[in-house]
Amino acid sequence: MSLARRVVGGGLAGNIGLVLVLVGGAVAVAGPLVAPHSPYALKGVPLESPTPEFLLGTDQLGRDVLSRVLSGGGSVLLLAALAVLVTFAIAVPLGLLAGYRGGGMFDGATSRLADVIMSLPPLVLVLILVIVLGTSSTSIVLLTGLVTAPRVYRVLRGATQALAEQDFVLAARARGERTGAILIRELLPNITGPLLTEAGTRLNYSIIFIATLNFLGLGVQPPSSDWGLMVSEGRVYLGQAPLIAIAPACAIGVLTIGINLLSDRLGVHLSRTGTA
Amino acid sequence: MFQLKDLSVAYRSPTGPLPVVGALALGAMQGRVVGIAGESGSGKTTAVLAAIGFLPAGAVRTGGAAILEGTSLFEIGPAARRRLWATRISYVAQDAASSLNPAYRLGAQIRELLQVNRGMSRAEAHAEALALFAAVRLPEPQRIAQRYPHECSGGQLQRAAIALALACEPRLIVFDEPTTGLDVTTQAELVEMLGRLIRERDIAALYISHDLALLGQVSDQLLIMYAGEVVEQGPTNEILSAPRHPYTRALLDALPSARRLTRPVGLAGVPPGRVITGSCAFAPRCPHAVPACLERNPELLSIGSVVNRVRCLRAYELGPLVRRAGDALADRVGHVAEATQPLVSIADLRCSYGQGAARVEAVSGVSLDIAAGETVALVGESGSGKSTIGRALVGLVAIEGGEISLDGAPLDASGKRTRAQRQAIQIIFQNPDSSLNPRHTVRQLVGRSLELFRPELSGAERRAELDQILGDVRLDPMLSGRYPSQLSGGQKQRVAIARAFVARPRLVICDEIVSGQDVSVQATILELVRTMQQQYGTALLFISHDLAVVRSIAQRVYVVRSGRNVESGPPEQLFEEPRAAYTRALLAAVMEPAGAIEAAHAS
Repeated sequence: MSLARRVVGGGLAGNIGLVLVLVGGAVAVAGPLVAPHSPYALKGVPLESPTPEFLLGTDQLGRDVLSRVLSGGGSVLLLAALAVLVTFAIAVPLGLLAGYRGGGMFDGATSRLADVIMSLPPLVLVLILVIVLGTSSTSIVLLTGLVTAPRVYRVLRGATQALAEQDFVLAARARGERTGAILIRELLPNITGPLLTEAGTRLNYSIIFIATLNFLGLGVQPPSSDWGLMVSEGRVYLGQAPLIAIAPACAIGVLTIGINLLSDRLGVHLSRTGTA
Repeated sequence: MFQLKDLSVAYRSPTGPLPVVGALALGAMQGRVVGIAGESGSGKTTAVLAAIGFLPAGAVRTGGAAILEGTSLFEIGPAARRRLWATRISYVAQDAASSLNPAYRLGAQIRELLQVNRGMSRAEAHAEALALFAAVRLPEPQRIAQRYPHECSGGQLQRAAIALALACEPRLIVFDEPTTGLDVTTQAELVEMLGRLIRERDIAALYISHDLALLGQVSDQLLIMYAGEVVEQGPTNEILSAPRHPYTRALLDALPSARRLTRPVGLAGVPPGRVITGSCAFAPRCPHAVPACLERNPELLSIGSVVNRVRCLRAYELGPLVRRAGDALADRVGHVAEATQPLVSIADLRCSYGQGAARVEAVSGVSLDIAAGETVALVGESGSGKSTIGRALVGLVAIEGGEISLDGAPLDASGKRTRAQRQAIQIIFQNPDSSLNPRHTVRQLVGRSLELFRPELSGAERRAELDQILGDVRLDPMLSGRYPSQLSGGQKQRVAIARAFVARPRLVICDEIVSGQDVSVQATILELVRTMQQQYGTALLFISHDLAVVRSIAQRVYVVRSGRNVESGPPEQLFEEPRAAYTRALLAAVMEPAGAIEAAHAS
């Protein structure tokens, strides 16, 4: 409760971020419910300028751009959120363990693996893997999650290492607590600051990444009204009906800038008050 | 030479300015040291920094004048003040490492100072830097000059910081607890060197410390501060032998002694963190308070002679205050009944830590015994291995040679312990800021110990037990929902003590638990540990570098050095007639407040 109050009360940037996230999130989640037309219906004359019936004009097949934008966010947001969950499922246990055990074989092996994954350009990596595994939503989520995991692993490992030598961890060991218990009860509550900040940043990254994959045609396929796909399709018509590409691009921008500002604010705040 | 009049400092706060220093006045003369004593929160550091014109963020000077050799510090502009700081005033901070730039060699740092502020050439500055290093008794000045700060020990760094302070030939030096955290012997050497340098170079010095014993050794004049005001001032030996203010008396009563058996008396309560007007700030904690003390704040008045001043309504009537008899602290048990076998026996222990090239053998063959219910002290300086021994007992450090036995049965060398063994030996760490998980409440911290080591209790019994132990350590049960960051240092240490004793152990290891605490808090914690020990019949292994504290609490003392036994025996014998040269050196380095009344009223 008090976290929410602090978030709301925190500075201009944080507040702008909150607003943007709420707006973008609302559009993504509830958009389909308020869309005036079906995103797939060929209702109007193609490439029309905005009219009262089609507030953002129509696209190259005569579909209402506004309705498509309102319906196009859900998939990106959902997939991105799932990808972030995958990332954390991988990075949190490995990062905690590597940070706690620091310097051993486990730490060495895991860190080198993370280094290898991070050294490959993520888009190229996913491109190759997608060609092998196919373009289902599941593979997109898993691959995006895998590609972003090393960075989160690094951050959490660093944060844990800083704590692992503290006396309260020693006290836990002297009490005979098992490693798992130490990681979860003693260390995890103390790294929530970096954890939440990373969550926000990775969500952002995943949204743009998945939108990019869709833009490249590796994700969802037409006639889906996904934002990335819309931008890709609308590129050709920038001269005649720019809104086809610009409207979804703005939607992506609003959401990601908002998440960025908000997670910055959260990060600053948590690092001030979260840990001792 | 340096005169301070009427200095008041306040902090900006949402509810208006918060006065933390009130009408402070002092005078420092060449070649003399003025000691400023007070516990944490007394405002001494803020006051002295403000006196030389430096105010931390959020602080505002609300009055006063400071004159250094004719120049009024508060009336000149910031640029002129900076020049003054560079050339005529020096400051030696508590933590030397923070005043030295870690990226530059030591010699280069002093050289830069000399070249910029005294206009020397590089060669001249280099020679002068070496001369300064020699003056602060740094061995092999040429080699030290080539070293980086991280390659030097704490004592060496502190000497280098002092050399830095002397470099610009200042007229006034401010020392802010520069020997905190150093070994007893290093501390004694540094203090002696400081005194000599001050007198030789005719510098005026202000020395801030919470350690009255140290100030007794180093200062000529003493100011005792409480709640932002001076409560007593005068020549040091007069104040320490015949204190007039109840707070001074309380501080002296809380000081343990290595020279004779004392019962340090703690001071209950917490100092207010601000100036109190309208009543005597110390009255709530004062054993001599009368109703009149709560009606107005007494003035600082001369008593006896013009240089002795006290802020107390009853000063004249009470006269010089004598040491209070220690109450609430039971007598030490004379001798522990000889059991057939000691509770814990350590035989020829060897331990090391670190990896590969940095592997250090911390303990090289130490033996000691602890009988049930006995208080054994383990004394040594840093690097003696005493903490490592404590950790080996609880299984945090592997045993590489020798054996540790509990009730005659040897403990596993790799650190594995059974639940019963862990319950039997508990440990309390030095620093309560890091030994308590910042994200656990008091209830969780102590409750975990209960869950693990007394599983036979039901939920309701556990809650009752928790309230009971919090009461025993004199913590308000209302605090059980708080996080460590919301508690004071003394309260946090009590939580750590509660956590250890609630498991009903047979041995509690106290690893430097009072180091770094104010002297009144220290005495209170010692009293508490003794009470708990007697209540539960627990044995205590008290690890410390402070001989005075050890003497007041231990029934048997082991002295260790570089991982080996040096000497052992009951304190009277060890302290009065030490056999080993090292023990003698340690004792000689201990600083005690001198005084006729002290000796006359020794208990």
